[in-house]
Formats: sequence, structure tokens, C-alpha cells
Amino acid sequence: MSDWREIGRALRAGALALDAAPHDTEAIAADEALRAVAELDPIMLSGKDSAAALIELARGDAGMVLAAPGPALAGRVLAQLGDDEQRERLRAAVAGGRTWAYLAITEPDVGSDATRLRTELRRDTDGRYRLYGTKRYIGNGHRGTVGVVLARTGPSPLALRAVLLDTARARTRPLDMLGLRGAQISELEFDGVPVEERDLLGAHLSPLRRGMWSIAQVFTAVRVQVAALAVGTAFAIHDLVADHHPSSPTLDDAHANIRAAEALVLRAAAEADHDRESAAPAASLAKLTATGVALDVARTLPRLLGPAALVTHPLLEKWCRDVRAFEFMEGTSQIQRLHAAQGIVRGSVWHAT
Amino acid sequence: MSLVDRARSATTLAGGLGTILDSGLPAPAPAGHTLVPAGHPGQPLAHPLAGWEGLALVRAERVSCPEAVRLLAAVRIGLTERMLRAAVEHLTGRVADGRPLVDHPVLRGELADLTATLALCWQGLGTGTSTAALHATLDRAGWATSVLFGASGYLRDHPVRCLYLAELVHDTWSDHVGLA
Repeated sequence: MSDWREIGRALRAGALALDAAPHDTEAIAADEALRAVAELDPIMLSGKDSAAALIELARGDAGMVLAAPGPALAGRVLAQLGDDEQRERLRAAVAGGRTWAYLAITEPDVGSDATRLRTELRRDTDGRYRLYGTKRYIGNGHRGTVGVVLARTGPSPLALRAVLLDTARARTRPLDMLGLRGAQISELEFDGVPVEERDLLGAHLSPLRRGMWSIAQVFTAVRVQVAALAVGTAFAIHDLVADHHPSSPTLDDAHANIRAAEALVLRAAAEADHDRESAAPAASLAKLTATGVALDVARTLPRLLGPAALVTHPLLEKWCRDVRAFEFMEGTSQIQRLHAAQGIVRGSVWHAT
Repeated sequence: MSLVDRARSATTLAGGLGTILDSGLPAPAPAGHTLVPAGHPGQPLAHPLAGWEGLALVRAERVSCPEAVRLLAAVRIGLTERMLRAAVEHLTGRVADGRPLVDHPVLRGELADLTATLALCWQGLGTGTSTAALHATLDRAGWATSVLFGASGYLRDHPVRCLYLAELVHDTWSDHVGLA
């Protein structure tokens, strides 16, 4: 893991420039550390290894991690729902840092509530599928040329499929966000974008497992990865403050809390690798705690550096904005609480043993 | 209307800071630079976010002003109350599980808690609650209010951004150092 940590450290050099100009794809392409991040292949790694790598990389800068060309979170979906040919298509599309992959779930007004998504995959009279709808708050949606889109296939709340888009393009526009600007959060509009049969993910799974069931597994996998980014950012804040402030109980407590959140994230990732279906409450708890710890660290530690710490240390200020983004990615804390509570009621959440 | 009442009723962050500084209090700058309304005297310094809310970062003589920091809490209370009202409108217009989000018990509880928190802060301004404690509470309340807007509250042009900028103003105005 020390390699990922080294790459993470190298990411910091370009973090503020990227925050100021997230649309500068030439600068991204020229950044050696970003090219190294592109080597992270979530299709090949276990969820736990991928989460561990993301923690170390985000300890450098999460915005830079998400700006790196590569399969990103879409790779985790392909690892789970894709067949060999689809995985190879994604891998080939992003090979050598050629492009970015996006994962398009969230929509205007309904967020990431999968049962209320409106984007439709319709079958036309010619037998071809076409995609209609709008996705919002999608990382790398504007600069990416390949991605996974979640769409409705019928009126039932459970009638959902994920599709791989690597040739057809949506109309896209970047959104101007407060933080995590390196991810270039975007809006994508699909107005009859053609989708081939071979683009449908999960075709090799039983019909019962292609739709909502598989989407629930996607959320479980991706939530753990977002939690890993939050933990890494909390470490980054701690590390920077510790570099300028002597050891103190506040710093030590924060470090212990971040490590505890890290342990929960890695445990949830391992559980999801073992049995993703039963790991959903654990993934929600991991995201809930990781996001909470990161926000708490961002709120308390900069004050140790005295007045105007957020002006004197612009990276610190940027990370204080960045950690807020994790709240909104793949379900807010309220959503995670509902999922975790469901697991508690069913008795499927592990206890603090 | 008293100064603290006028600070609370400011409709913008820059307006609230202007109310404080127009009263004759100095702009606190314990670290030698401070966020103030654009146009306020002082050598301007680059700041990536200040302009969003009509503010500027300026170099200034190192000065502390606890009363200005206390009045900043009143500005923050007023702005958070304003944003909370906007959040109620936002939640009324969004539907989940067949009913407006504002009717969901979890969110109603959150609205009640935030309103109670802000009411307590307002009273605390008059009863001697420490300014550091007030601002720490307002940091948490501001974020909890922003979250009510969902990801739209994380857009740079969303009005709720003023609550984050208010945190940054507090960072430059306060000479309180966290417990070490």
C-alpha cells in the first residue's frame, strides 16, 4: 500500500490548480501522478483492496483521484455486473489514461433513489433500445466518453437495468460545484441515445438478478468506495494539521477516530467481497460513519492552527469543502441511516464485537 | 432596532458584515488578514471564494475585536434562519414515497432541531454563551441546513453557500484556538 501512499503524496502538487480550473484536461493529461492513479484497476482488485488504495490516494487529494482518467466507480460496477466482453470494452476505452469513465445514477429531483429514477430505456419498433432522460451530479460526466447509466425498463419501481455506453454520447455540461471540483460533476441528457443489446449489463445473470437486485449490489459496492474517499480526506486534513502543530489530545483523538472509520470501511468492503447481498447495511454504516468523521475532522482540526488557518493553508480549506461532497454521493446520511436501521431491525448488522 | 437585531436581520453576508463594521467596530484580523465586504479599506489579497458573496480578503493590522465576532454570530443566526425557510420551500416541492419531503418525520425532526438550535443561539447571545461555542454550533447548524437542499445546495451558485462563506469569515475574525 506504500506505493499508493507515495502516489497520493504526489497528487497534492496539482490539487489546487485543478480546483481552480477543473476543465483543464491538458493539465490533467500532463500530470504524472494522475497517470499513475489510472493504473488502479477496480475490475481486477477486490473491493477491499480497491478501498484500501482509495484511502491512500485520497490521503493525497480526493479531487485529483477522481480527476484521474480511468474506470473509476464504473469499474466496480463492471466488476460486478459486466461479462468478460463488457469488462474488456471498458478497460480498452480507458487504457493508457485515454478517457474518463462515469457512473450515472443520480437524477434531478429524485437523487439516487433507485425506485424513483425516470431515465428510461425504451425498445423502439425497430427492436433497438434507446435511452431517454437526464442524470445530474455525475462525476466526470462531461469529460468522460464511456460510462454506466442506470435506467428504467418499465413502470415497476424494480424494473431497472444498467447499460454500458462507450460509443453513443449524451449532451453534457459540467456543473459548477462548491468542492471536489476535480471530479467535474456534470449533467448528462439522453435524448434517444441508441443502446445495443450487448450494452445491457447483467445479461449473464438470472432475470431476477439483472434489475433492482443487482443495482442494490452496485450501491453497496460504491458506497464503500465513497466512504474510503472520505476517510482518505480526513487523513489528509489530519496530516497537514499535524505537520504544523505539536502532538495534542485533540489531534490524537481525531487520528484514532479516522483509523476507526478506516477499519469499518475495510471491514464493510471485505464483507461485500464475501457476500454483497448481506453487506448492504454494513456499507451504509461505513459511509455514514466515514462521512461523519471526515466532517468532524474538517470542522475541528483546522482551528488548532490558529486564526485564518483556512486562508494560510488553502489545501486545508479545499479539503473542508471537498469532504462535504461525500455526503451527497450515492445516498445522503439520511438514506444510509434508513438502510442501516433496516439491517438492525432484521438483525443483519454486525455488532461491535 | 439594536445593532445585534440589525445584524441578525441582514439579508446577505456582505450586508451583515457591513452592518457590524459601519457601527465603528474594526474588522477583526488576528492573523493580519481578514474577510470583509468588497470595497472595505485594506490591501486586497487573492482569495478564490470571497468574491462569490461580495467579499474581499484584505491585509490588515493585527487586531482582535470580540464584540465584532459576537455580532458575526448574530449575522450567521439570521442567515441560517433565512436559509432554513428556503429549505422548507425546497422540501415542500420535492416528493418521496408519495408525499412532500417536508412531511417526512425525519426531516420534520431536523427542521425542529435546527430551529431550536438557532433559538438557543439567539438567546445565548444575550446570556453570555461563549462566542466560540456559539460559532461551533452555527458551523454544525449551517451544514445541517445546507444538506436539506440536497446536492443542489452544493452548487456554487446556490444561495446557501453564504453559510460556508460565513464560516470562512469566522476563521479570519476569531482568535480563538481550538482545544489542543
